[in-house]
Amino acid sequence: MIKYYHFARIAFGDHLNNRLRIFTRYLIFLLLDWVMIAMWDLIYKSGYGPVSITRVDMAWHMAFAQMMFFLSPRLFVVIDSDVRSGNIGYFLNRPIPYLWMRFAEGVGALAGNLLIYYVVSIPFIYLMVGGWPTGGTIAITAVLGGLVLASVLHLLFQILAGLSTFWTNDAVFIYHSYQKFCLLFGGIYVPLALYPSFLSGEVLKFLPFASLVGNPVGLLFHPTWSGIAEVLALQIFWLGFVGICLSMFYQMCLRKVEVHGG
Amino acid sequence: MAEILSNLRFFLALVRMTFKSATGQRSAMLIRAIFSVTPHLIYIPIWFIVFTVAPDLGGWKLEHALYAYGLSIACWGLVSLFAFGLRMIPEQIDHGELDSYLTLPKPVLLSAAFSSSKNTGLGELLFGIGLLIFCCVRYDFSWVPMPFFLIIGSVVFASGILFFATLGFWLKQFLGSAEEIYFNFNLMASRPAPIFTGALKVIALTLVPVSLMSHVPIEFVVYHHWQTLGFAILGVVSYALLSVSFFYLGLRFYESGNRFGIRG
Repeated sequence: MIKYYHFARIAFGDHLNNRLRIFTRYLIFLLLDWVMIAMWDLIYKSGYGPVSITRVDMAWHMAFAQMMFFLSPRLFVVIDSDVRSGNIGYFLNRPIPYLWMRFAEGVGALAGNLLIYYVVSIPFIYLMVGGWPTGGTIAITAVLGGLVLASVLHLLFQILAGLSTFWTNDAVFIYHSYQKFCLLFGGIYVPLALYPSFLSGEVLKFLPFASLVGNPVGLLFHPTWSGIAEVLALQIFWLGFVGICLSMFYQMCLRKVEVHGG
Repeated sequence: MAEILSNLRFFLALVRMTFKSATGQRSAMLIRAIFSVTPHLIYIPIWFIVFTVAPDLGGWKLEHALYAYGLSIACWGLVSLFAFGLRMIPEQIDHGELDSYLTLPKPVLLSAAFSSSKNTGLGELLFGIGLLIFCCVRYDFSWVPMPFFLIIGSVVFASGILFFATLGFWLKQFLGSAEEIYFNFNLMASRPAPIFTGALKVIALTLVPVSLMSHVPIEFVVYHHWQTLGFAILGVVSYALLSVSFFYLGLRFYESGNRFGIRG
């Protein structure tokens, strides 16, 4: 395990060194937050806001939902590039599985992002929203905790998308499809509880996309211990399931590797 | 004048060559075009859900959101198909690929922008146009300005890409972040215009001019405000000039000679 720790540690330091890139990405995150909060402000002003959710709670929900996509590094781009350039051939000779090496790097960079986004975003969101959520500190802590596991799950999905390059030669559209599924079934634009009856939130919450965003961020509205336990259990299940699928998929990819030249 | 005409001929030749190269592998292009449509088909129901919750967003309804999305996707496809090089500028900078273009007598930007193509662009372009046509038929929008909006939308989007890609002269390994910016730029263009008020409206008209790309065209389709359209055209030209100037400013900081390469 110590070698994975060192990969994560190096990635953590490397990630934090790219200050300008982090800053640029953070600005996009703030801009998207701003737009989503403005959209729901307009919905409430137009009289369509749900009675069961306050405007402030909804704004915090939107901000945290956007945050999930920004916490993880864009790992699929690295894997896509490794596969396409053939560099993956060099990594396969090493006494450490490529898959878990990249995952460890992803976790390292994720830790760096968690530090920045969690510390800086809370005051920013407070300023944008103009109040604290009804659930108070417990709700915020529960959501932030849930987003850590969600981001790890997101990393696993990104690796899956990245490894798909072996067949598709382009991970970007696979990742974009996955991202759009998250937007549709994850409850990013609209909380899952408000989905129309033909897309019941009660069913959607069992999908992995909800474990990424809708379930952990939904804790803002009802931060109960049973709710937290349910969200956690679902996240752990999906982490295990996707992790096993990923290991099997990786074995398939290894049979597909073709390296030409040197 | 002669130089402008010569550059125009060069531009047309580049576009022709890039398109020919992209369509060379027909079956690969077709498969990727089909797959590239999938994410957009998944995204559209989101607006149905949003407008189920709130049927009217400050005057914007489902049809406006669909038109805006069609326009933004078609522009994304058009730029990817003909000027994919723009998106790859940060990588070209990192790999020292601008060296070979600097030795050519023609403008660097033309060569860098129009020398490569992404074949998923065709699917996105056709999907976007399909959605626009659907809106025109289903919601009785005017067909006439559609090609014009596609052109100005693509110019805005291409200028936006160029503007942010130019940051690659100062930020190394910027491609990943730049791609994220392009993606969100395009996504924001499909968000309802009434959301953008106050400072957000200023940003949407200047630094990230998504309003010029989709909001103004939709306003014209609905209300036929010629004056707004006139100002928008002025804004598009100004933003394009700003982006090009910014690129040439960045080019002064370009550290060439990173890699040796020969281009025939």
